[in-house]
Parts: sequence; C-alpha cells; structure tokens
Amino acid sequence: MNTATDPEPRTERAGFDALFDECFEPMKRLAFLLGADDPENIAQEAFVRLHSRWPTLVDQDKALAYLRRTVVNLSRSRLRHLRVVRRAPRERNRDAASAESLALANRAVWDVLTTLTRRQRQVLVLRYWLDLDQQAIADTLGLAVGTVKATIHQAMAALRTALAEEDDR
Amino acid sequence: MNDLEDRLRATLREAADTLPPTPGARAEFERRRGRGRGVLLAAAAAAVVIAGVAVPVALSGNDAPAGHRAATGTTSPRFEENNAKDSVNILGTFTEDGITKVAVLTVVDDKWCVLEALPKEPIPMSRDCEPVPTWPVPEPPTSQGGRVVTEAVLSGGTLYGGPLPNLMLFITAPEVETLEVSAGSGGLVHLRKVLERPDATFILADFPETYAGFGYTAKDAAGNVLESAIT
Repeated sequence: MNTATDPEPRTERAGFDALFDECFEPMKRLAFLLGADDPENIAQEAFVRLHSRWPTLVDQDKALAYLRRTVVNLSRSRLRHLRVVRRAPRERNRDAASAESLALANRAVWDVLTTLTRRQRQVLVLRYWLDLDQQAIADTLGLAVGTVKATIHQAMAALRTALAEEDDR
Repeated sequence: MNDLEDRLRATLREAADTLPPTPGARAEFERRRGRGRGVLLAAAAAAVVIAGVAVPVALSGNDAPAGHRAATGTTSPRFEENNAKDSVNILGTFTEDGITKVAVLTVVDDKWCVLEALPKEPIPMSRDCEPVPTWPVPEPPTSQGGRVVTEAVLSGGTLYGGPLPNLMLFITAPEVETLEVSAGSGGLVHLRKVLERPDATFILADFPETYAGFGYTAKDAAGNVLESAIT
C-alpha cells in the first residue's frame, strides 16, 4: 500500500493517470446523463474511490467497471439526497437547462428521457450512450440480465409511446 | 438499428456534449485525494459495513463484551431453519417503478452475489459475483482473521441505501454454530438461514428499520464466542 511518504510505483501511477485523462470527462457526462446535478463532483469522487482501490484493480476493464458502478451509485444516492433535502417536486435543473440547447428534434427525445423512471433511464444511457451490452449493464447496475432486457424493452416502449403522442399534437 | 435507437443515441451524444470540459480536473482530484487520506479512517467504519467485514468497537476471543451481551439479552436464538439448499434464494421483495422485484442470493460453485431481479428470472448471475470466503478472512479488524462477513442487501454502495435498507446478509464460517445479531436499539434481530454449504452459511438479518449500529456475536458448537462486534 502506498503512503504519503512512499512514492507510488511509476507504472501504477502512470496507469491511473492515463485512465483519469481518458475517462474523467466520460464519467462526468455519464453522471449528467443519469440526472445528477453535480456531475463533476460525482466524477471526482468516483476517481478518489477508485484510487483507494487501485492496487486491487489490476486490469483496466475492472477499473472501468468499478468507475461506472460508482458513478451510477453516486448519481442515484445524490438524487435521493436532494429529494429528501429539498422536499419539493423535481425542479428545473441542468437537465432542463441542457435540453434548451438541444436541437428541436432531439429535444423531444430528451424531454421524454427525463420523465422515465430512474432504472429505465439508467439502462438506456448505459446501452445507447456507453454502448454496453446487456451483461455489462447488468454488472454495472447489479441486475440480472433478464431484468436488464425487460427494462430496456419497457423503456423503449415508453419512449416510443411518448414520442408518438408528441408527434400527434 | 431502428430510427428510435438512432434518435436516442444522437440525443444522448448531443446532451453529453453540452457539458464543457472541466478545467483543472486533475488538480482538483489531487486536492481531494490528499484530503481523503485524512478522512479515510473516519469513514472506514461506516463504509466497510456496506460490504465487507464489520468493524467492531470491541472484539473478543473467548468472551463476549459485557455490554454487548446485555444488549442482546440472555437468550441465544437459533437460526430460523430454511430448507433452501438451492443456489437461488429470494432475500426480499420490493416494488420499484410499479414493478415487483426481488433481491436474490445466487451461489453457484464458489461464487456468490446478491442481485436485483424479476421474480421469475432463472439463476441470475453476474461477472462480478464474489468468491465464497475462505476462512478466516484475511482482513482487519481481527488479527486472527474474521469468521463473519456482512453485505447490505442491494445497497448499491450507499450506506443504508437501496430498496431494502433493513436487510443484511451475514456469511459465516463453518465453525460458527450460532449467530446473534442486535439492532442499534439493542434488540435482537430476526435471522433466517438462507443457505448452508460446507464452506459457508448465508444468513439473512431482518432489521426493524436499518442496520445502523448493529452488533453480532458468533459462537461455536460449545458456546464459545468466536467473534463479537458492535459497529
């Protein structure tokens, strides 16, 4: 284990630094797409936690999986915390602010996305933004693969229905 | 790929791209990392309860701490027996987004995991299932190694989080014959033996509210206390 006085082995530190440079922005954006209103904070916290476990995560795939899980969990707990503290309906947040900058066609999709359940939104973001397969999504969310498959199906159906209603207006 | 999937991908990509890069992210990380060292110890006791070996405030070799014994009472409840010898066991049921789901303990070969699943899903497994512990677990808090491992059910890495914050899974070594678990209030907690294998026993503790401040005492067949802790 490294201590404050012991310099980290060069290779370990280089590997972590490379991962940070490559993945900080994607992890921040993942938190944002999941609805977190402080995505930078969540990405930072995820990397701090990863750093404390770095010696046990020898290959980069495991480190990435750990990062994804941590970001998802922190985004969820952060949202729950905010709901409890504010005791108010979901307010205008960065979701809404960001949606305004989207092109009109895509904004309709974004608007519907923000109305889906937390779990539905998670599976869609992991599937269609991170391009994870069902097994990787299951691993990230702590779900059975069949549950992932069913949730994606339900989420896409909800999205399709809501957009059809939107088009009919 | 259909049109809806295309639209969804484009939307997510576009929304993600509205976030500008964070200047000085590395410097902020280094600042937090330095600060993290200072608070790591303070947080360890709480965090390790989520998944790992419970950090006790008192440990015993052969004698239970007097305070703990008083808190748990004088009776020594046995586990509620369960015939479940299968590798898939439902720990709890909850409703999320209007859908009934279950927390499932799956133990296959030498791997175990607790996953969220739909009620009729067959043998849910994950690549991240963990090895069944080898005893004693070579981790703190006891220099002799632990004989009890705890895992909050579906907590998602969040203290007292998840849909079933009242459930905690205890995995015990074969030499543990009885386990007493107390809630933060001091009252005994109902236990259910979920699965017994030659190498480990999986026991579910159903707390009145949450597992905050829980304690436990593990004894061998002769009634000797093997391990005791209050978190």
